Amino acid sequence: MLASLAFAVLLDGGNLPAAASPQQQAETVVAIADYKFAPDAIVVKAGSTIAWRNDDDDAHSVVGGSPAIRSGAFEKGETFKTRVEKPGTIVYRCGLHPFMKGTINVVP
Amino acid sequence: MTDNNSQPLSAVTTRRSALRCMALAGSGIVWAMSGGAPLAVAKLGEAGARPPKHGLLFAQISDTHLGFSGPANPDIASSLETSIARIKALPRLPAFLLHTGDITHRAKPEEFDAADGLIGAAGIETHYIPGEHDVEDQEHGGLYRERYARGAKGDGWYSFDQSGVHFIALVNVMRFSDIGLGALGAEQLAWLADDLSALKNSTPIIVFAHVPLWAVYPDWGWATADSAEALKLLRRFGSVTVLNDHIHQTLQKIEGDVAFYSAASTAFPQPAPGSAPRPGPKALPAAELPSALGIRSITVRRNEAIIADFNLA
Repeated sequence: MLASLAFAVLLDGGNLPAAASPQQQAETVVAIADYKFAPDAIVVKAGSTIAWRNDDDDAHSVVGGSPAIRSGAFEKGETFKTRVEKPGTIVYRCGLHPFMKGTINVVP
Repeated sequence: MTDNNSQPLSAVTTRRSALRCMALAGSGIVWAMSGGAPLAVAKLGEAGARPPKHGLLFAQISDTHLGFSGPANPDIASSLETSIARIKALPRLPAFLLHTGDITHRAKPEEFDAADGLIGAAGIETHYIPGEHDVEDQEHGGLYRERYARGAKGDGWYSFDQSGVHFIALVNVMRFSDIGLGALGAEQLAWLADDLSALKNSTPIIVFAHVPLWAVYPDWGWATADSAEALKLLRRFGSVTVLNDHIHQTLQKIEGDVAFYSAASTAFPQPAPGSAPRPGPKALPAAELPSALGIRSITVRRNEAIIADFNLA
C-alpha cells in the first residue's frame, strides 16, 4: 500500500529543517549528503510536502513509490519537492546510486 | 567486499606462460584471451605499435556523461572529441563502436544531442546500451529508447551477429535489487536463453552491459544481482567476453571461460573499489586526468578477443 503522489521539481534550494515527527503543513526536508539521505526514514501526514535538497558534489535523484516518484537527476544546491497524499509506506532510492535508500511513512 | 582477482590497468601481470606481446600506439595495455582465458599481455610503451592486423576490430567507449560539469573534468566535450580522434587514429577503422552507457549525465534532450554530434563525427556505426544516467527522464528511459533502441526488445536489449561473432546487449539499469544492485530481470533472462538457444558452443560471444556482470564492489552498487543466471546460460560457450563500464576504470577478471573487462570513462575517473568512503567523480590534477580516461579496441580473431585499452594522455 503506497501513497499516491503529486510532485514538482523546484530548483530553488530548500531551506526548511527536517522533521522527525508527523507534520502536515510544513515541508519536511531530507538532505542528501555523502551519498546518504538524511534522515533516511521520515514520518509525515498525508498531504505533506517533502523536499530533498542535494548537498553533494554529485548528481542524485529520488525514485520510488507507486505511482512513481521520479525526480530526474538534480545537482548540488537543487531541491526536488513532492507531496504525498495517501497513507502508506514509500521506499525510495537514488536512481543514480541505488544503494542510497530511504523510506517515507505517510500517516492519516 | 571487492573481488581480489580483478586487476587494474596499472597492475599488469601474466596469467599464462604463453603470452603474446603486442605493440600499440600510445600508452595502453593489451589483454588477450586464449582458449577462453584472458591474458594480460603487456604494458605498452610508445611508438610503433599496432593492434592485430586481422580479425574483427571494433571499439568501446563509455560513460561519456555529456552534461556533466564539475572539477573532475571541466571539459567533457573536449575529452570525448579526443576519444573519438583516438579511435579514428587506430591503424584501421573499427567496424563499429559499442557505447556501454551513461551517454548523458541527466538524460536531457540537449545532452543526447551533444553526444550524438560528437560521437557521430566518427562516422562509425554505433551500438548503444543505457546507463542509469540515461534513463532519469520522466518516462524512465523514453528518450533513450526513442533514439537508440527502436528495434530492441523490452527495456532495450538486443543482439546481432557480425563476422561470426554473436553480440548481446543487456540492460541492467532499469530495475534494482533489494540491496540496490542492478538487475536484468526475468523477462530479459528468458529472452537471453532464447537468443542463445540456436547458437553452437563454438560461437564467440561478446556481451555488453553497463553495470558489471561480476561483483566488483556491491557496497557501491557495482554488481548485477542476477548476473549469475545470465552467466549460467553462457557457460556452455568456449569464448565469452563481457564488456562493461559504470565504474570508470579498467579492471579485468576471469571466471571459467568468461572474461570480464571494465572500461575507462571518457569523462572522469572514480575511486578504485572501496578505496574511498564513497564512489563518485574523482578530481585529479589536470595533468593526470588524461591518463585516467580512455577508449578500448577489441579484435576478435580465431575465438580470441584481444583487448587494448588506451588512455587519452
